[in-house]
Amino acid sequence: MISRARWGRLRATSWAATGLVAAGLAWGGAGYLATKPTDLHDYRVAAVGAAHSAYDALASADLTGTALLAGRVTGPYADSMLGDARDALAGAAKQFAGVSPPDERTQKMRDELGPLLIKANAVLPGTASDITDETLEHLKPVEDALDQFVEEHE
Amino acid sequence: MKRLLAVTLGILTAIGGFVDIGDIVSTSEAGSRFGLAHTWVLVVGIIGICVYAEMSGRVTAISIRPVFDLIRERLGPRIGLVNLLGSYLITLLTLAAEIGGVALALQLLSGASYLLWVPAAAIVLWLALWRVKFETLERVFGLSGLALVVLLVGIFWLHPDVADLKGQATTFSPPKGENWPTYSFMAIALFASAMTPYEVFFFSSGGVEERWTPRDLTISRINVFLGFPLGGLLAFGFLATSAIVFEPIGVDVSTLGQAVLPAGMAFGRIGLGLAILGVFAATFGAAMETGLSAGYTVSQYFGWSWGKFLRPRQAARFHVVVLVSILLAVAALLTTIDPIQLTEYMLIFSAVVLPLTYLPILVVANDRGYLGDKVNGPFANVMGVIYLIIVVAAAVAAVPVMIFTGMGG
Repeated sequence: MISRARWGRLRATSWAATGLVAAGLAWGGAGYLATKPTDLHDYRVAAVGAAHSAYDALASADLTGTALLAGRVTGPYADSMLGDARDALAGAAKQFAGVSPPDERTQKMRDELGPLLIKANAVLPGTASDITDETLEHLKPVEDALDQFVEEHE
Repeated sequence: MKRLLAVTLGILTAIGGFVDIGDIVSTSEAGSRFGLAHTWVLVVGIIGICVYAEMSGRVTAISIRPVFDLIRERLGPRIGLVNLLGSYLITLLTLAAEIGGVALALQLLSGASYLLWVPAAAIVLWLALWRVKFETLERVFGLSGLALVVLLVGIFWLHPDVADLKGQATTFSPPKGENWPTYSFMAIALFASAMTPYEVFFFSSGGVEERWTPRDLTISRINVFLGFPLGGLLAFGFLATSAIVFEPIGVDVSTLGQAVLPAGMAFGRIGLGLAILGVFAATFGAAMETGLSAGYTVSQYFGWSWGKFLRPRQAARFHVVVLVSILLAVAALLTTIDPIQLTEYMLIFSAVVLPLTYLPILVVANDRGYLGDKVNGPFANVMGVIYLIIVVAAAVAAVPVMIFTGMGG
């Protein structure tokens, strides 16, 4: 016959053991995910994500620039939007640089997207005062190329 | 006029609850990625918060005590403590996100980095909570938040394809190019943002601040059934304008600046200015609500004097909790954590703790010891139980969906 106190201790021990096993499994799972080598799928997801972020940044800058030239938004607002776009581009570049291509096919993706991200950074106006019809014209081809990259590899 | 102004508590609570920084960005993101396919979630959220806010308002008006106070008394200090820890942590995260939202709105106006505005926003917030009357705060910020109506009007000004929008709004599945997990992630985030725990605690404590009695039951109900749907409608303005401007060109909204751009496109600088003013008022109002809610819940749990209806010296510990919460929020923001990302995490973790908030309210609202013959009727109970099931489902699904989709990416 098991006493009530002993039963309570057994129950507490089994709960503690279950908790430890669960924590161990979670730790192991997280460790596996963190150290798993990049495969084609991972690389494609990272590249498409980076291209999409870069496209979002340029397209938003384009909309803002058009609105600024039409007198529909203010200079400080446009500056803030361009700052956000720059941050988004930097984030995209960091995300893309964080994964290495595992095979030839992904190396081709890298060779395609890498220069596009550099170009996106170059054509993005620095401040609201840099926005002109001409600077906005330079945005469009890079936007289209990024959009096409996303569509091809999504 | 006095009667009209009496509904500003509901308007402030709802504007803070429905169009705080997290809602603005997540609703706009949902619109830009899924069109109007999440409209039904907004409707479900509005009904849900109305069901539980009505219960909280009734409990406050009849018992003349706030809900959190009764939860601790009715369910005991242990369950009360679990409830306190869950809701305080979420409220603190929300407070940080709201101060960040105020700073981001000021960045859009000035062009200067939001990090420069964070300390200034926090000081003004603390001074307002310490010195300014509750009624003044709710009227100024509740009513200024109504400037967001500009986005609702903007829906028509942007000349959308109405048939297409109608089709999107009556679709209950993700559009082409999106998948079910991200659609569900967004649905959970939007639902959690409508049902954020601090809303009911703030609303019921606000009722005590305004000295509601059983005679004010109607005022309480008008606040609920006018204020919350209005807040939901303003949130719909962000959803719809993003669906009109960004969805067709495939741009995902992820910043506050993008969320207010449609107002500028529709009405020019004045429209943009009104939208930013509305965002400023809504986020400042939400920062006030969360700052006060932090003080309310902690003080009510420990049985301290609380509230703005007392002089600061009479409720010193309440004001200390508010001040410490603001300082913790500022410290979190000054680590340069992105306020928008902070809010997205907050919404998902908020979904996890929702049952801790709403189950006790349902229990208290059925207690004749507090409410006499004003306990829940069959309809309120049926709705309460249905929403409790939805809340539990959202709580269970929140973290797995977050991990599976990589925060909806």
